[in-house]
Amino acid sequence: MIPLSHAQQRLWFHARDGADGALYHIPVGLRLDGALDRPALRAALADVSGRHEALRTVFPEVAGRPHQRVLDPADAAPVLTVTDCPPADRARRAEQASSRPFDLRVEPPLRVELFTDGAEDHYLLLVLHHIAGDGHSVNILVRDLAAAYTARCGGRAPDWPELPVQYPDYALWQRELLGPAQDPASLHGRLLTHWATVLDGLPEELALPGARPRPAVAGHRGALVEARTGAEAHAGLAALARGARATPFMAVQAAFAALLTRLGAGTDLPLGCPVDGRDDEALTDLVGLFVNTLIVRADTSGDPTFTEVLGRVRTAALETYAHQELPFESLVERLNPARSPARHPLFQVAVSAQRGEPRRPAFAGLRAEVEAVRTDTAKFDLTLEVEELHDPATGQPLGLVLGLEYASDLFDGTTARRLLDRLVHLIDAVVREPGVPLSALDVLLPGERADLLEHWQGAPVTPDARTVHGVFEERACAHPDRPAVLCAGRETTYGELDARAEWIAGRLRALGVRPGESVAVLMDRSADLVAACLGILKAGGAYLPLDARAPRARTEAVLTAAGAAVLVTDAPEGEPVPAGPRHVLRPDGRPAAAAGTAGTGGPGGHADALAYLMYTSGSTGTPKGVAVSHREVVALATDRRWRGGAHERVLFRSPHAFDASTYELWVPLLNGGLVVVAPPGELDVDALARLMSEEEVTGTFLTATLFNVLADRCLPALAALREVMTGGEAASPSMVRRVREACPATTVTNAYGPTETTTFAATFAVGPGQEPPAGQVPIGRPLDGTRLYVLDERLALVAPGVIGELYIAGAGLAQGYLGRAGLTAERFVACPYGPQGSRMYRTGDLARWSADGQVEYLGRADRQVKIRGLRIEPAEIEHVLAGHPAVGQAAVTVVDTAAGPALAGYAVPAEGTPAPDPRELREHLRARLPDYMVPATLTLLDAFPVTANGKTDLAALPVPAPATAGTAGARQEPRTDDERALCAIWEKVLGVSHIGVHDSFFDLGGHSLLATQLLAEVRDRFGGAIAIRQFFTGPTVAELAAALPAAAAAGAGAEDPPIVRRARRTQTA
Amino acid sequence: MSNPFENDNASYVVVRNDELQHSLWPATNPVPAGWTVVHGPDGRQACLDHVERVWTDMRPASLVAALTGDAPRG
Repeated sequence: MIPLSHAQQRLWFHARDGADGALYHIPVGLRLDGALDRPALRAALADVSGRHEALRTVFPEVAGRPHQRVLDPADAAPVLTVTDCPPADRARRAEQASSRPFDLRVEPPLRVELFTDGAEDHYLLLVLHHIAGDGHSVNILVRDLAAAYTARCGGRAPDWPELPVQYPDYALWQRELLGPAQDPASLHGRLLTHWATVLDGLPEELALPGARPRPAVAGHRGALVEARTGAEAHAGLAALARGARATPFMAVQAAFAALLTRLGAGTDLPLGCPVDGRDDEALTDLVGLFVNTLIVRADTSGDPTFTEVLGRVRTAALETYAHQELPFESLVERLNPARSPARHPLFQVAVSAQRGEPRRPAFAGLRAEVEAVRTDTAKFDLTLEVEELHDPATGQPLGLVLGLEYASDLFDGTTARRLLDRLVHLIDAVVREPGVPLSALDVLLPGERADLLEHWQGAPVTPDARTVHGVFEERACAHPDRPAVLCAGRETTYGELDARAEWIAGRLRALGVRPGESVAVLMDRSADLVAACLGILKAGGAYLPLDARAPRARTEAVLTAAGAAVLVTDAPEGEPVPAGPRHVLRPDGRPAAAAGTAGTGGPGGHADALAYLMYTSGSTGTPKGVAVSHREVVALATDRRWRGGAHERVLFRSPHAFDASTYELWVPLLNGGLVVVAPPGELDVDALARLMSEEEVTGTFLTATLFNVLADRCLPALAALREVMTGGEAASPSMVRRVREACPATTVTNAYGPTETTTFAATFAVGPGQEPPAGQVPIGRPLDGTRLYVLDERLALVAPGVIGELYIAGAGLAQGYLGRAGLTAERFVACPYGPQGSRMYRTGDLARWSADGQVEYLGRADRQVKIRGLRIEPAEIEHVLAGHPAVGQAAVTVVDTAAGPALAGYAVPAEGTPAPDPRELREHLRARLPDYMVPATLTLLDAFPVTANGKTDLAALPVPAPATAGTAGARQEPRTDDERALCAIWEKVLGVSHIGVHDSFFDLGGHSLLATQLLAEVRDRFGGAIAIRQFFTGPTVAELAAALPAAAAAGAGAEDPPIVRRARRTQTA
Repeated sequence: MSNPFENDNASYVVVRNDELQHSLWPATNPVPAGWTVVHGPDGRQACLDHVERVWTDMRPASLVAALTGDAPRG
């Protein structure tokens, strides 16, 4: 019996599972114009099939093993199916015919269909299964068919030299040549040793720019975009290649690797590389599967020049060619990477050279033209097809035709198109300047720089040199009787507030407060707190709000650091107050004048003087005082986004010492609106909802945590708002959606901004009638006058879709950290993109621009972790976990386990829904994330611990209980008869004892062929057929046992081919 | 992703603008327009120490000028 070649065996495995559709079909179309001689065509097809044994080979299974059975030429001449149809119908019919599955056990692997309109317009479709041929085989097939047709039209048999060998000879020869994989002395064994060394430490998966989250099972649907370089770029690249003793193809590989690196895919890039496999001259004219796929591991580390990358790629490629006989499947078995049906093992990106073949084969009496037929499939995430065009007369380069086949699960056409355009752009750049480091190459497309620097930035603003109290005083003059503050049912007018503030300012001046000095405020929320802040500003001071809940030692440290001159407090006389300031002012007296501002000295002060100091926790444990000037507060308050009435009645609810209060006070007061003061102290959610309804609040800011709780429990309160803003940490997409749906008149806004940029730097509003985005909620675009930059490690602009670090410049930028020159100099840094001498704030946040110019926040830069060598952003997992309808809040941290760092997931159930089953959550995650991003543990909590400013306190999350450790936990004994029987089968197939029901088949040394054997045994024992793909998604005894009842029920009437027991893999020739 | 301002082994300079504001700056990057190198190249901590030493009045220079030109308010 003739065994299969190694490559055939892999395809047989895929075909047998039946899941890959037309993935391994190679269709080719031939337009034939003229009088077609059908009998001659039939005879020619028989000639070709007679000539190449591969075209008449079927693959029956005997005793559980597939083998090659070459049919007699007389029994295997291809049937020519003729369909009359108008030309317009052909594409659709050809696509259908191309996708129809082959039954390789009984059906020859070549199918031929003729579509004709009956006259002189014909279309011949050849569909070859990959098991019988490769790309070059198609060229041979067409060439031989043309020759045979021409001969038959002349009444002759084709006159071609006999082929020296046939494919089965090759298959036997290959097995003899390679020898057994287990024998280290065999060629097979030596090749494995070589490749295992070369590929040691390979990243499991590349993070590809602009890719959507990977589905749990790859769909293999795909499409193609094409581009062409100019002749000059082609010639230039070819010259660079010559200079490096490389091929132009290697130069394209190098350019693609450089591009992927620049787009964030890392510096260790396994690129799939098909190798022709026809080294022996005897194989030159033979149809058959000779191509093998191996890996060129491109190393772009250390910021090399393009020339250096080309040299490295050349070395890697030559090594690959020198060791190309190793069947890819052997390599996968040996390296045994974590298997996932979601991705191709070992590499996900391939670069392949296309041979330019004559498009016009010579069929006697016909005008023939070869047309590519696409099956809308993609084997890999990305395949770059490279074809060189040359002038046939002179051999001069005419351009490179670049085709990018992409997996539709991961990319859309626009993203793929942009990626390919970037490659063409980068090729131009490296041809011009091959000696610049990769990091200095421009990967932005024309127009993108202007988008990033201008079109997507905050609208330019004219400088506004007014002070905060100056603008307020203008308002108070314009409408002294309008209510400014509403507190505990009592209204204070603009005039009254101004007078009260003036009185406090007078007291402060009398106490010797000098311009530029800070004045501490330790007061409950009240109308007088508002007046105190205004009064401090009027006196030329900067207010320093103190957190009443903070420990006294911290407060006193803050007072000392800020050099506060006076403490303004509502603490009763005699009650102890923090020490430090020279004076304590208790503004409990009545103002001297009831109203009017004209006589009080008028607005004074400088826009660049400090308006307030806000202390935030520093990573070193020392609080740092963010110093914000009047100019930036005025810029915030005069932004155009507050217009339209949504911020006329704003709730003052945030602790005064946190920067949301800047919005809550100054946006209404500088725009003639009303501050609705919430009662002092912590407010429970119901009281908050009641207050918002009763006082007809129109706009408010809620931390993400509070927003989620209100979205769960108090939707009507949100529905009465004109705009609700949320921020402080990533917004939950499901909660935003819920509010959007339940509150049709409320604008839901995701707001982003560190204290260092005056509360808000960017917002993303989902207005009435607008759909929230499908995935995460962007932070949107910058405020007026503000600019956002997403920069890489060299402070270069990254392309849209690529993750970088977020920098903020322009309006809103604080002056720095008071008295902390060094810290200021390292966080507020020189800006290469703004006006001369301007600064930008380094947020330490990860972000990216979306293709349509919205910024997406991706968590803290320093939260990024590496597990098993893979870069993981916990925030991404949190987003997915929070996307489950039963999850209100999600958090993911890294915990240390005996097996190294592992992800720990936490969820708070959404209010009003039953607590989710952790298993169900795990399924939810597995359906949306790669395996390595699914946390090892999932812990449900009633609520998350929060920090003083209302953010989730990750450090305070409980250590996950070992009992819930799932896959990472101790071995679980089988619990049912089914599980015991399955464990016995596993032990037999794997040769491993003591199988735990949660152990992964693939962690125990299993691989895909062993899985086939395992499932055959399962079918014999239980009568239910489990598809291999299903097994991939649940490769444990427990999951298999759970899937059995459904499989058994379905198995009764199924027509699936029987699953047959198979030996381990190798066969002797 | 490593941040270019956080590499203890890299070389930095201190740059200053017309407002006399100071910024740490990676020595290998071109100095943005409107900034002048006032220290370095030097180690990261040495640059920050320099900033601590010389940048004692952190108010923008134009504000200081405006305030000293004005009569003090009070």
